[in-house]
Amino acid sequence: MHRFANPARFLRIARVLTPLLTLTGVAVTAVGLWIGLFASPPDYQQGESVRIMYVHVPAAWLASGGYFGVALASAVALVWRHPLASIAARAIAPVGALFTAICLVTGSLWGKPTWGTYWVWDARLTSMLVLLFLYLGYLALANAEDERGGDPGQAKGAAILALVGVVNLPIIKFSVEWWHTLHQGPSITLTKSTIDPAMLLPLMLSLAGFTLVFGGVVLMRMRAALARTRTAARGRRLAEAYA
Amino acid sequence: MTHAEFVYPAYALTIAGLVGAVVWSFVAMRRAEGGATPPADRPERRR
Repeated sequence: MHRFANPARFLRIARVLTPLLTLTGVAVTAVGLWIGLFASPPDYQQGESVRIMYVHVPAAWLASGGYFGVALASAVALVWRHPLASIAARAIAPVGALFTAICLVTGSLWGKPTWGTYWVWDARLTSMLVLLFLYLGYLALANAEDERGGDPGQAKGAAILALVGVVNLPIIKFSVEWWHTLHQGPSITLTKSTIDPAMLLPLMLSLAGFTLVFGGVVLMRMRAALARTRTAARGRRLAEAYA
Repeated sequence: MTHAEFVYPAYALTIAGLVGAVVWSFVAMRRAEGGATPPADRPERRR
């Protein structure tokens, strides 16, 4: 783990992985969404609106997975104070927030024809909205800490908020089992799937494609942050040399 | 109420979000990495 925490080594790996993840992700997503929109069958109950599942479910998976990534990187930043971990957390958070927003809006668009309403204060929907607020709170705090200056590895407020917010992840996951919710229960678990293979294929392709794009975008944001750090360090060296 | 009026906006929004995130991050990365390279180390552009 520490081997990859070296910024120079990380950059060498990231330069190879960034185009690989992004281009493969875009291609796989395009195929998955094409099949989902035009080649997969409608559902016997939901009709054509089941096609929203192919964008909603991957967005939901990345919303929760992204937050777990923010919390994990924040924990590493707090314990080992490695600046690369802080940069990773800050790079993941806006992308995770975007996918949370996509999940909420596409879920609303699915809810109207299926439930007859865009929104209900259901446990799953409400906990996803709380996740969006946690992302926005994290971003606001991280930006405030960055504007104040200093070493991002030493800034603790955003990292602590990210760790406290982790309690929301099991609530999201088990909300459909703990409470009687309007939102349906899980259709796929680690051991079984109740989805027809004709629908499972585009769902899995979208899931894989979205995840690869997510990884590519996070790497791009981390590379940008590292480059800005290098620029700032060079500016400080020049200022000291001419002082 | 047709389902298309919900399905197409959901796809349009998602694709716009994905493309926007990729393009925005790519431009920000190129700009930041271009600024981080000292002028002497930058490769000369061919005309």
